[in-house]
Amino acid sequence: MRLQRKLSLWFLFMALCVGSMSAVWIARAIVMKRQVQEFTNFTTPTLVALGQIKAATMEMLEYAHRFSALGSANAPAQPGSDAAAAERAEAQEQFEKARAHDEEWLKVYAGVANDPAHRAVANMLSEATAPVAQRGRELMALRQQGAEESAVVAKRRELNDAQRRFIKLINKPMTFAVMDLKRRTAAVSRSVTQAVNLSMVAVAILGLLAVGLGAFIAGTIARPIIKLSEDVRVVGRGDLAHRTSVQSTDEIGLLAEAFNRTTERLEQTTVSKRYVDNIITSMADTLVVVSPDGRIRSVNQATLRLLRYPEHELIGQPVSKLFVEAAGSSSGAWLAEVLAKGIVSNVERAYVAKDGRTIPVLFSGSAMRDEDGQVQGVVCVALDITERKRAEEALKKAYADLQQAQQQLVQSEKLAALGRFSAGVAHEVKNPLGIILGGVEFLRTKITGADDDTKTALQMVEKSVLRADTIVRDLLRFARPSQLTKEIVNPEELVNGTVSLLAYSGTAKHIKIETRFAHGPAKVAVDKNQIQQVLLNLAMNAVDAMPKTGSLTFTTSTEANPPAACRIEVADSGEGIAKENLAKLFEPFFTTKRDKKGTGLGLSISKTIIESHGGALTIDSELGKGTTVRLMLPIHAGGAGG
Amino acid sequence: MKKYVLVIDDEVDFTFLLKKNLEAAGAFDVTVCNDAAKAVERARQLRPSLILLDIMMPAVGGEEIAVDLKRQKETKDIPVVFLTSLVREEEAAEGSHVIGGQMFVAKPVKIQELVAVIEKVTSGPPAR
Repeated sequence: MRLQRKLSLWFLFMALCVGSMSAVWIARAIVMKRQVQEFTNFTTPTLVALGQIKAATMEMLEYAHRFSALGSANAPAQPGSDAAAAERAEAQEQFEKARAHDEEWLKVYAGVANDPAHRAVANMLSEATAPVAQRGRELMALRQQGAEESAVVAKRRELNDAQRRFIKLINKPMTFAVMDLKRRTAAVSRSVTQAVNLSMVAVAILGLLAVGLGAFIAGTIARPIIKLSEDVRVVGRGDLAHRTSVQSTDEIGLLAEAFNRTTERLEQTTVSKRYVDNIITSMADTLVVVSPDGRIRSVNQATLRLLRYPEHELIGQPVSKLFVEAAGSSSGAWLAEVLAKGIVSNVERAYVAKDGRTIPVLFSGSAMRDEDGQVQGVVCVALDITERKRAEEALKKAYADLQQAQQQLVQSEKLAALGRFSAGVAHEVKNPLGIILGGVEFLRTKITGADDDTKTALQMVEKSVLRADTIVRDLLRFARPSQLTKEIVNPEELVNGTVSLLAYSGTAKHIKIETRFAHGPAKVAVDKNQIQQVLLNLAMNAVDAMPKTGSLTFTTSTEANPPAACRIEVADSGEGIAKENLAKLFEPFFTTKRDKKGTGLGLSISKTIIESHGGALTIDSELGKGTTVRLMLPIHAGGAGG
Repeated sequence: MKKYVLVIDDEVDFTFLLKKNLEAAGAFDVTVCNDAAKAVERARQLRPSLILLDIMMPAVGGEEIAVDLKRQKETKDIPVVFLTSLVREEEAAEGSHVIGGQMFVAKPVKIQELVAVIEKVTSGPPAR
């Protein structure tokens, strides 16, 4: 049922109740009015008339008796008889007046009597009062005449009889009238009581109806409307998923349905605040909203996780707190840039976490404007690129390694090419050198008598030829390492052999030479001559690095980490090698002893020899402290048994 | 008695000076052959007491000539000393002048050294 109909019915029902009660009331009032009219128009005047009649009749009697009591007029004159006469006249006058009054009210009564019974009563009363008046006049006449006392008494008796009859007669209608009055009063009183009761019932019914209507309105209108208004508030707060639970078939129900439909459409077409909040909270990237004056207004969970700050330690703080200040650019600068350009995207910056960690981020900032174009704040999104940076570093390192490997490859390719080349060159150079040398020797036999300068010149030519020959010979050796003739030897043997050769050469007399053997039972399978040549070369380099004094230490040990190797170190306390020269040490023809006897091939050849043994040669050096050359040779698998 | 040395080398200038220097240095008769192809024939004719043989020559290599000389009855006992610019020191201990049983002298030839080697080879039993 529709609300309108319900309400209409309610009100109609109430109107009917009120109307019917009013009708009852009006009917009751009419009855009451009639009842009241009856006793105002009839009973009361009847009773009043009867009362008046009775009173007037009794008055007549009284004046008649008073007259009679005053004695006869014919009695001897007595003092004061004039006064008695006046009194008699007075009484007689009063008697007549009462009789007139009596008759007047008899007429009144007769006028009021509107039914035969009352008219009969009226007649009877007229008949009853007439003898009283008659006997009274007769009595007064008797007395006036001065009649016999006996006649007077008889008359008096007659009068009294008439009186008794009258009284008897009048008492009946009077009693009846009083009774009637009582009855009618009771009826009116009943009607009034009924009316009062009726009113109370009506008031009670109306009250109940009002309460019922109120309850109905509250239940069907007010409560759902209150619920709906609460639902509206919930949706207003942004919960677009909220639906009202109000259900009914009336207009409120229609309103609730319309509300739900509208909210659903709103939800479909609108991105709610909570939805946006959820997106922001769930974002993997950090998000910081900064006010135009550079203070942090809000941060998302990802930011708190990344920077390990509790939220309250960031909100309201200057945003510069988050950044590692890059040299020459303050946080104010980027903020100004964002405000000026509107956006700054994918700039590499670094955040600082609470614990001081520096976190590289890919930073983007964008100005947030309201409808009027006023900047409300800056939205900053930063992507943690720690891993990427790490990967980049790894890639860089890998690339560098690759480049180095490639360089080494190129270098060794270059060396191989150089080797092939030098074999050809050596032959072509050595023949002319041979001719020059032959020429010098021939000339020397021819100029025995020549001056010293000529001889010196010849000597210089010879020396230069031999020097050139040494270079070519080293070049050849470097270019075409000979076949290895391996034998299993104790590293100690190699070192000792080298030390002996060194002592024999006599070049290291100013150097303190030490040997330390800690290689255990390890043995190496090597070409003894070649390795000794390498060690000798290294030792000679060391000696050259210590022109005055110093120490040269040969140390043997083993390397447990795979590949297991025997380590032979040649350490000097010499001048060391400059950093910029360290890398060039193994380049063929690199030498710092060009002016002396260096060919710049010694270390290259040594390295080639060691590598041809499957080993490695490395050099550590510190300028002013000395140089350590380390040979790593594979341990012979047979171990001590070799 | 003067030792008779045959020098087989294609380098004319070199052989000219070597001949002069050897003759000046000691009691040597020196004959030069600059044509490798004719080297063995010349050796058979001249029967020198020692042959100085260059290894790297155009047309015919020194090793082939040496092998040929060993095959010939007339020349097989003549000692041969190689002259080479491709000497590798590690293949022979300093001053031994022996590689794989063969005597050699490295170019550029120092005349005293060569003389010493010649004296050694010609005085002792023939090297094998």
